[in-house]
Amino acid sequence: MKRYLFIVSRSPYGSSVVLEQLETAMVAAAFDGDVAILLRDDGVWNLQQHQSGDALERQTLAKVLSGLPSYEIDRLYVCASSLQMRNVAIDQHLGFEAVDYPAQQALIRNSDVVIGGQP
Amino acid sequence: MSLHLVFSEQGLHSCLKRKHPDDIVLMLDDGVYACLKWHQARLPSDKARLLSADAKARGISDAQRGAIETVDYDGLVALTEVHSPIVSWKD
Amino acid sequence: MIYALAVHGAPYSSNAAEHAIGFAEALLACGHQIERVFFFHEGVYHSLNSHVPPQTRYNVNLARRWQSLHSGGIELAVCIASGIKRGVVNETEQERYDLPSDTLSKTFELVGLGQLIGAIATADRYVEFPA
Repeated sequence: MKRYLFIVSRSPYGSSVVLEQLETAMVAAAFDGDVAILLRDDGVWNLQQHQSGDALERQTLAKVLSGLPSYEIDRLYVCASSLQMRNVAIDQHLGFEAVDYPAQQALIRNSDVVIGGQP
Repeated sequence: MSLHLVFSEQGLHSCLKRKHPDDIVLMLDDGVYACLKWHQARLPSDKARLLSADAKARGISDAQRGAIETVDYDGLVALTEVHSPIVSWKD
Repeated sequence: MIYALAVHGAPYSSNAAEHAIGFAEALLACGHQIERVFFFHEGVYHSLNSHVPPQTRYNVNLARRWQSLHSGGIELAVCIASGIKRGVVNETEQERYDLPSDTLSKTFELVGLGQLIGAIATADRYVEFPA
């Protein structure tokens, strides 16, 4: 079984990348992968409270994130420093753990595969 | 040990915060410009590499790259053989 | 060793393909195996059957270089979800959506995300080329 780390560095509505990355993560989990997700830089905006994809007639990214545990994706991390810099009003229900740089370094080193996805 | 492929200067910043000191960083594409600042970014030259064609195309001189070695695609293959995971950084 | 590659950048607007092809050719020359090259996000544009290489990029015909990798037995797989929304359709999808023509080059095939994960799961290494 491979250990996957998906690094999400993009904001939720600026492009369709994040959704495509999360779909990939769900497929990896469905194929018995051990999946972790790390949000960094503008990726932390995916945790902002009160999102409404409806306003743009698309899916609400926070809602997609909230469904990850049902795909057995529960190693969910967010870069503490990226959060702090942006002053994000984080939705605590999403269950992401804020981690420092050394912890992120360990996450990368303990993965077999890192999917960055920045197009 | 991991191998980091850095495609831009911003990518180098993002990578350096999250890489282990023993990991190797290969700068390619516009990432080769970042080698001009490698000393400021606390990346020892023996942990850095440049993709030779990309550095040459962009006019990075031997003086500018200093002690950083260049590698061709065969050299990149050799790096991927002995490092895992391989992480790409563009932003 | 077995490798899985992913290309995220569009032709002639990013260097993702040049890097991926240079790397793939070196892999094969070094005796490695490539399980699959996966085209994702804007990388799917490589699979259109209607490219004309720009004259400003002499000696670079990406379609021909992909073709040559494909002839060497390398599978070039395009994410169907990323592809069809950007106009990349094979005959099946053309009929399904009642479109005027198919647009997928014969060198490539449309596949699901499972094929990306399948390739990665089989491979010893995964290398991603962003746009």
